[in-house]
Amino acid sequence: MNDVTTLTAPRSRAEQESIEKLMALAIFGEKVAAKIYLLCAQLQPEYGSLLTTFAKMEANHGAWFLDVSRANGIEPDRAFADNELSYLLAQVDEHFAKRDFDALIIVQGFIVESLAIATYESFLPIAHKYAGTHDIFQKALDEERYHVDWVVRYLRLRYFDAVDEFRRLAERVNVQGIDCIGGTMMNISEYLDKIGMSGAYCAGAMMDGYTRLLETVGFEQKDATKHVVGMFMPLIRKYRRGEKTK
Amino acid sequence: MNESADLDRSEALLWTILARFESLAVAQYTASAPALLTPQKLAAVALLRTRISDDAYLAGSGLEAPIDALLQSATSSREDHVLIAQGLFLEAIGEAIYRNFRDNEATGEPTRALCERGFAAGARAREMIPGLLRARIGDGDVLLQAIMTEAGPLLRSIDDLGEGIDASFLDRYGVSFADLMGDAAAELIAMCADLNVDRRKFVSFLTSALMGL
Repeated sequence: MNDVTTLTAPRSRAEQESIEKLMALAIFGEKVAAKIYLLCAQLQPEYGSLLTTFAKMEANHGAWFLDVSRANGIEPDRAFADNELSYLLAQVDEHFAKRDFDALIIVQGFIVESLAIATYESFLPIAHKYAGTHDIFQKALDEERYHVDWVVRYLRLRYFDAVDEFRRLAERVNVQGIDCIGGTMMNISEYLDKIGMSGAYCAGAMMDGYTRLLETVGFEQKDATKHVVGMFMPLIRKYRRGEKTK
Repeated sequence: MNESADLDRSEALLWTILARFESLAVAQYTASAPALLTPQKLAAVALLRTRISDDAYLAGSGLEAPIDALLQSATSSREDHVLIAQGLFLEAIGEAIYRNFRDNEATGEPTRALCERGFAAGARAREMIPGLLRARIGDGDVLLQAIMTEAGPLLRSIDDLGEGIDASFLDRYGVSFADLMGDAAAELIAMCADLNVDRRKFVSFLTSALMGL
């Protein structure tokens, strides 16, 4: 993953600033993901080895994205990423302080991964604009899906015959989790548009992806949709008004 | 406006909004989709007319202009537009309103009776609309394309209702604009999936239109 050819295509200032924000979010978001899986590993030693491996995979994604950014003349906008991720980190610390493994695994395995998968999937068709990015984003995407598969299996077993309990947990975690990560989705929408993706399509893909995950663990389809759309509507309305979500 | 001792101002506002929705439905179904002018729909409208004869409760409220704009965006004499904007989308939104106020302890008995009747009318429409859409337009991507054309303006204008809905109904009834949209979206997504519309594409269209794009 280190043999990235240096190649910087001419870009408009708007595109340059946008890709710098987006790559920063990808790089530092992956580092936060690594942190969350490590915290999860501490809380559940039974899965410690596997979750530590997941953390290493996430850290690798961040490192690959940083390498390829530099090779493409993209200086990640760390201040932007820090601002977006600080709310997430506060939630993560809160769940960890309460030793709430299931809340952490929903935040990371469902909500954060839904944003990552929706945006990485949508990035692939335009990845040719940034040399060396296609293969690493494809590999990262495959690995994120693998993580989600494990989280789905864990939650299905953990909440087998206890769907109401899962529902209460998901609703509790989602109040802040969707406000935070869905809010980031809305905040990056215009930057996604400026690099040639569709922010609205990514937001829809994230909503649909997250809804399907809730369904796999026992929500009825209409129930899951109502819940997720209801959580996103205030964020969409803020977007309409040109307000930042956090 | 007919005086009514057992409808307070907020419920009278709700009745007025529903009367606007249903009057438009009757006018458009009569002109372009008579199959949807069902006995259940006519019964709901008849009940609304026993209490509401004008827009007095809506006039001057924060909801007047957004309701006007929403209904304007749904108005057309073209059958495709009526089936999609009115039959699919406004019926789903109406059904969400009826459901939320019918199953609501803060709602008075006359309003619950209205919502029961209105919900039944919506349920009947929901049974018929897929067949009408399939016969008239088709399903899958062809239908999605038509939905994007016909329902886009309606969805882009609906956001303006949010503030007025929350101000009028959230504190007292616990009904928020987000709840109503969640209910309506759940119904629409399920119906469109049954019509072979790709779910991811449909959700992305909904999101995009609601974002005003």
